[in-house]
Amino acid sequence: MLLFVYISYCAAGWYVMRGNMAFYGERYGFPAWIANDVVAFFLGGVLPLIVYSFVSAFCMRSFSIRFRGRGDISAVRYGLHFAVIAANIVLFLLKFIYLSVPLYAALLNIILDPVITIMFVALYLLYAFKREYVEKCMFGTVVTQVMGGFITVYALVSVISLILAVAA
Amino acid sequence: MKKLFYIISAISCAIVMAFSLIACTDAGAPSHPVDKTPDYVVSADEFSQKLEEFLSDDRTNRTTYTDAERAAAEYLRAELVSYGYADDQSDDGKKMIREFGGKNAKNETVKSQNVVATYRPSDVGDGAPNVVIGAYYDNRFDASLSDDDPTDTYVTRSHGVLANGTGVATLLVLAEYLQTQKPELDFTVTIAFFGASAVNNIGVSQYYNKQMTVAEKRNTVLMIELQRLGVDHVYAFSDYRKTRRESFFDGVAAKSGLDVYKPTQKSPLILSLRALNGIPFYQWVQSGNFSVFFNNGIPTLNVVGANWETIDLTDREGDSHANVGMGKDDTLANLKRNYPDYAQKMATAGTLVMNSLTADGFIDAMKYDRDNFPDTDVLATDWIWYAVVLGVMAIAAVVMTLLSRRLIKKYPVPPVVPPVRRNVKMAVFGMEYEDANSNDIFIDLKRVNDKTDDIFPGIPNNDGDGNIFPPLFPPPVSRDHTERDKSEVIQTDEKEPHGSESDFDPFASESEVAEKADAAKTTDDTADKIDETAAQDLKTDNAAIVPSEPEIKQNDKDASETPTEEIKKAATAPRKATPTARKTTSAGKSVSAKKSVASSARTVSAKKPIKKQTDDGENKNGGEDSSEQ
Repeated sequence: MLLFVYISYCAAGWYVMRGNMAFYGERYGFPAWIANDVVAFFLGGVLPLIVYSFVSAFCMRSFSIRFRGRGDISAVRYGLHFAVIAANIVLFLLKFIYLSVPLYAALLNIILDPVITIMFVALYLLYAFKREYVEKCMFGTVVTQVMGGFITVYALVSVISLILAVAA
Repeated sequence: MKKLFYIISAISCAIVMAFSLIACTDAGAPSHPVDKTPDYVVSADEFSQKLEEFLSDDRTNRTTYTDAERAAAEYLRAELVSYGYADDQSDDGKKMIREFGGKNAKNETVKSQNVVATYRPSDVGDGAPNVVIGAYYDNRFDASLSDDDPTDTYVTRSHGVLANGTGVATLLVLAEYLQTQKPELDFTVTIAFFGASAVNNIGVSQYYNKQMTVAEKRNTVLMIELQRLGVDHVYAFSDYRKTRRESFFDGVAAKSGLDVYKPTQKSPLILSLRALNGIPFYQWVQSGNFSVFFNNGIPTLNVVGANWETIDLTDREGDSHANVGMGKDDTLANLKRNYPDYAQKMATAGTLVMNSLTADGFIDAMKYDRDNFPDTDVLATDWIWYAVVLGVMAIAAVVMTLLSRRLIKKYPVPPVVPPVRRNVKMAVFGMEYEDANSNDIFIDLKRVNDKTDDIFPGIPNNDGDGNIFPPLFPPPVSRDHTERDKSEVIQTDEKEPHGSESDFDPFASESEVAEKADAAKTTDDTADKIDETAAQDLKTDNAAIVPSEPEIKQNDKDASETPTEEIKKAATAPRKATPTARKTTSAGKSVSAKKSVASSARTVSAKKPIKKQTDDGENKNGGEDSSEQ
């Protein structure tokens, strides 16, 4: 399942990774078999997958500790993979907009990723609660843990990027 | 799951195929028909001849800030003068060679120069629009590719053919064409060769900031740069935003049947870099001296040689050969070998420029773009959009917090009830119990009066009104299975004191035992232990419903008349001597669970099939024989 999550992250991050590969390829003299679209595709999903795996594992672990012996949200975690895959596929398709309006590529890239992902995660949590993947008494904590993880990561990235953009 | 796997595999294959198809297409190729032998304004041979002349006489060394560069500047001035340009023909009387200086990375004073000439048609006066056509002429023969590191001793030994001998030669041809053909233009054309601009835009910046007058800047409606011509394709880039000049140049190329490419999104967007004001990304086509004019609001046209249609994401000169520009392989011999049609590419670029200058509506389109230069700085101001995202995250966090609090309040976590600890206590010699309702188990020591729950007969039991505590051991199972086969109902008199029908008395005499054995008839065929439900009921003090006697009898009758499959199985199954687990359900009159246990009113409904369970060959709660209570 994690493989599919990885592929979805590759698709979502492919367009931006093209630019990064081009820059570093030109700067450090990468040959064509490294600095190309295929490598950019598979490289684009590595870092997001690592971050996602770490954050989701951390959230699930802290939830299990809090509801020791009572809470099992492995079903929630498994379903979350599907939500993330769906969000990444939508992002991949939306990024084709950059081809027609490249002037808006930068701002769309900044805004679309967190908004679309959090929207899909929220929709998935709503679905999970309707289907009672966890006990009702754990609803609130699941919302805090899962949504909080995503929001924290995106907020952190935005803060760092904002500081760098202002400093530049 | 398998279906999902197939779907995702199909999508992945489609993505890879899409990549392959995109990589194999020339996205930037001209959409108009291309003449294989277009009508060049000047023949391709003249371009190649001009290039060879420029690179002769050791002018392969034009290293920035050196005498070699100065010598190249003198050559260019002489050429322009030979074409008919006056040395002091500029508006302010400045000479062609315009020097500038500064400090290099080693803090040494360095000098360089631009070579500038102006073509002014006879009927064009002061204040007329001006078009600048430029190309940098220095190279890095005796220098590295960077001026920032004073300790860098690397030298490229580049002859500067592609960087930028071909551009200089093309501009020389155009300059000569203007003076020889004298096209009728209603604007002036400035021919500018920039020094110290091979790796940095020093010369072009000096020209714009220091060497152009205010009037010249105001009147300049277009700046055209020629660079790296002669490789696979000729690209013409004006702007990403909607402008008139882009469609104008497209029209000129189509009309002339020129093979002129346009940069597309196949060339990667580097979102983390900025080179042009208002453009929120960087592409290879943005590299050049023209950016100085672009960033000051003057429309530009970058005519550059490259091949950005390959799978390679880097800035490629050609598909079949490695980049040579700025390197030791950047020689005329290599250019002729690797790109045999380099002269045609130079001629294509020159024809595009000249045909544009002489086309109808040229100056109007350029003036329109000059007056309506787009301002898209906000798109390139990243911190604004990161702040927007932060705001969205903050709102999401607030919503999430409120929602989770509401959910926690609405669905609170039930408290974990710790299991009741039950201690076994020995009540000795009729002592008063501390708490009649205590969860502790008291073993009362007194004389047993035909009661099997007494361990030490003869010692007062102190349960005259019935044992109000749950028995420590389950009631015994009778050895007589005959009655059990017929009926699943065990009927007891709930008013009878606990153990009233039991005939077991370990301390009774033999005669007493025989008497009791004859008299006692057990009807209990299911030696269940106290089931968990009853025990749970005891803990929570829930009511246990006990069927009334008539109901029991009716149930018995129903069961005997219509035995269920399970009862039949139970009836025919081999019986074991060991007692079986007793399962109790109750229906009917509701009584206190403790009292019901104390009064030993335990019945089994016939409607529910009884499941017999063995306890590994022995009664878990006591001996093999124990009567029902």
